[in-house]
Amino acid sequence: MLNYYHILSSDITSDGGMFRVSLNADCEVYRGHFPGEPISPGVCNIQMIKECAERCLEKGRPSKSPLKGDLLAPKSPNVPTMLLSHIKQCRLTTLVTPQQHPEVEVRVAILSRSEDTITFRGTIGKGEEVYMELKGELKG
Amino acid sequence: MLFQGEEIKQLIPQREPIIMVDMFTLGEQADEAAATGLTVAATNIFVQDNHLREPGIIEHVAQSAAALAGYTTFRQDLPPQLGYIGEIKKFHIHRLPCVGDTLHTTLRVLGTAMGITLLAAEVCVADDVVAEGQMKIFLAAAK
Repeated sequence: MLNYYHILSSDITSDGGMFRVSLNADCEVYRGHFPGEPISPGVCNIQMIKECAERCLEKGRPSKSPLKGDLLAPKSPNVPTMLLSHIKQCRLTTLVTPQQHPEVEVRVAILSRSEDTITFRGTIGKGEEVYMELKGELKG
Repeated sequence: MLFQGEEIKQLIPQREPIIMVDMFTLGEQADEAAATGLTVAATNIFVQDNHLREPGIIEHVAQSAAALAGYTTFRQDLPPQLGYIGEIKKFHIHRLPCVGDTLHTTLRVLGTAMGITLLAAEVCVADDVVAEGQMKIFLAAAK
């Protein structure tokens, strides 16, 4: 578990969600990525989008429990843990750093649902700006 | 030339706790640029419930590419350059490796232009392909 991000607020609808997220500059991952030059690892941001997508798939009514968001942390039992089985395409167009981007928006659109596969699109950005975009599939 | 364990730091700019490669060697087949490895430790930051999760696998591929670029600079007596993932495409994860598994990865270079390298990677555990896909890596200009 990594103390990488914190969900400040979320707005989940039937086909996606928007999450305001803060990035934690003190996360241990920055000791190594990179020494003296903290840059948010693309793979951590991919995982953050995936975890937000999983929150959009929560069964029953969304829990009102405090929103936590540690990377790879245990979740509420109603939030499924899926396999990110396919990244069709993921473009990382802006380097994200916790200093320059202490607060970002994660947007998720659920595009299709079948018995065991969800297709979705996710972005990280702020306002009109998009820092990265991911189109992928989750398997349950 | 074989790089193992700590020697990998001569090839990649990443440091603990996010080092996701522990073996590098140039490829033996003509179309294979490099072979890399990672044995999944229980203390790996991307391990959850005894499995190496998706970011660990993807970062392993990215650092395999970083090591390949770093091999070139190493031979010129230069430190590894910072590199970033620019794009990931057609990347399939078939299953998650377990703690104790060793990932064996082969890299093929599909193209290089203006500091961008397009690679194809296949990640195996024993004889099973656990993940495969393409990645574009940007190298920062040398300082």
